[in-house]
Amino acid sequence: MGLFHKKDKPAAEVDVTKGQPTVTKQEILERRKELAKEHIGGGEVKPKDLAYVSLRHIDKVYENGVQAVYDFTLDVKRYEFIVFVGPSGCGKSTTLRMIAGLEDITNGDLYIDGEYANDKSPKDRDIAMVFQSYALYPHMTVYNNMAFGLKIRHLPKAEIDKRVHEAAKILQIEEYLDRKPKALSGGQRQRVALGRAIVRNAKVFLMDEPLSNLDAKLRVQMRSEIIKLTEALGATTIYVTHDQTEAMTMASRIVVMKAGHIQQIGTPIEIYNHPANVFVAGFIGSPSMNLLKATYDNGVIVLGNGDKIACDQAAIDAHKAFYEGEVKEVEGKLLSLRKNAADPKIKAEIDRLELQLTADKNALVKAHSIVFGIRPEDIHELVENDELFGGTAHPIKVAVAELLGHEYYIHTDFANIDLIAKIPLTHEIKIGDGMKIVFDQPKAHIFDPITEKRVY
Amino acid sequence: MNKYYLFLANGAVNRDLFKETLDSLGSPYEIFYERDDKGYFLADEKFAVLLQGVLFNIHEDLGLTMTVVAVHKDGEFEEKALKEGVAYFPNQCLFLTDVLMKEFSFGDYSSLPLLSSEFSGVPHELLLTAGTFLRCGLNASLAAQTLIIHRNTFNYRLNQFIDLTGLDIRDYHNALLLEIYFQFGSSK
Repeated sequence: MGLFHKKDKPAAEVDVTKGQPTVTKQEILERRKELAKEHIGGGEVKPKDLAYVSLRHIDKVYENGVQAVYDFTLDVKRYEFIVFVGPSGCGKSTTLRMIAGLEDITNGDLYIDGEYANDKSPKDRDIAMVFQSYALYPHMTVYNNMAFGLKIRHLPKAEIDKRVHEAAKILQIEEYLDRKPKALSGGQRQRVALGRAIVRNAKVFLMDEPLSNLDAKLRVQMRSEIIKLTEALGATTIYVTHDQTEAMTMASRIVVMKAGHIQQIGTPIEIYNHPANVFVAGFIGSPSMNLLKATYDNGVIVLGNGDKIACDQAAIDAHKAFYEGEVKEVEGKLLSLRKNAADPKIKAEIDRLELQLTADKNALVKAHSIVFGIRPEDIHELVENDELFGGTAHPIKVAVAELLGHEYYIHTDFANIDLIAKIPLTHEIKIGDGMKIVFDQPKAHIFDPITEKRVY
Repeated sequence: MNKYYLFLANGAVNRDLFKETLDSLGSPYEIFYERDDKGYFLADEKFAVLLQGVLFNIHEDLGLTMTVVAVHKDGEFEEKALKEGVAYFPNQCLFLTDVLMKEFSFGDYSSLPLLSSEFSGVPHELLLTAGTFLRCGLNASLAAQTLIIHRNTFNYRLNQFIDLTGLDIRDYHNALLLEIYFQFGSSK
């Protein structure tokens, strides 16, 4: 095994033997197993029914020091459909591969069905993986593709036949069992790949962008088929995608990732309505949330074009509570860090936090910069006698009018950004038309420009 | 064009089952075992693509993590690439140039002396012929024109280069290896 783990040993700054200078790797593994038992007994891993797959403070660091995943912690309940979503390179596939056992976990613990799983070989984890590239044996029939893994495990022929036919029926590919992959369409091949996973009666399905190779129409169809399938099988599924539409439509819970860090975990509605930060706000939702630089001054938001938006009392209270909380949190961190102020790395962090503290304190008493966020569907065209949604009317000129059948996406140059509004099709809108828009203010968000966290 | 596909697995390979999975690729090959977990195939360039498509299945069905490196010959340089490939690319079929570029991206140039030694015995005239062929986008007529030699002379010299190095640079990956040598390994 030595060669296969050579490059995955922790980098110097992430030393699992820290404090135990003469401990062997075997001793570390034994100690981890003891800790795993303690964790289960101590309730850190919830009982079987509640946490089927549990990732605890998982890090992935390559030998050259590059860290791909930082402190990933997540409990996946049985039957959940979890989606990891984020841009390319954010660590979502790496995390999936660590769960599958295709990559070593540098630090942290993985539990599957209550059992410590870090050192289990992939085939012993009872996990089935489905990839973007379908991974089928090209010159085996569909039947043999699905049966091969079971044959190797020496299952009786009758049992193999039963499982293959049951899976083929669920996937509606019974008539293709005698065909070879090259005679199948992309969608059919993807179903065969799913069939290989189903026949193994795996506890957990891991799917790594399985629909990326399909055309848009087929993707929409396969999305719903995958959901129905996993519900019918009673599977626990972890699904990776870069497509936020897939995440929103398929997930029971979403994990949004960026640059190896979890940004937010929540249901699609939670994430959509209450994004934790600027990144999540801009990543989830199509078209993206409009994000404008603005100033907050004693309950009034001043946009870049000078337009003013008065905040209601709830928003003013939320603003105050947020920054009071931030001040308290940063002061606590500084108190702790100042004990080791001589360390240059810690000094740099102290300097950064002191700047942040000053900004947070100023925010409570002075006008300060913010990021104002409003979703396209929360911008309305103002017609005569219409409600103002608690806000003011903003005159605009239409730069682009995209007709989608039942609504327009209106683009306009507003406060130094390309603002997009979704306007229902009640009348024709053309480029150059003037109109008035109003923001549905209770649905607006503001974000802190330094930490990018959502203020409200 | 045949290549060597050096493979290294994380455990003993069940030879019968492994043969069955390789036969399913539908592409001719010969397999040679050095040990239970190590060996090589001789197969054409298409084999790399077919194998990459099923390596995960082999992993799931046979319980093996395997790395395969496609090379033009089996030697010290190629063996080093296999060991590095295992560390950087578990469960993948890749080319020698993939491993080199990954090493370089991490600032590791330890393979350069071995790469240079592959071409150290090649006469200047043949290196010039091969280099011109690359510069001309693998266009033999243009390369002959550039060198102001007859097309037949060009072909003769190119074949001499191929015989001497074992590196048929009419293949994209082999040409890329030579290009990497010119860019990083040769003294300018």
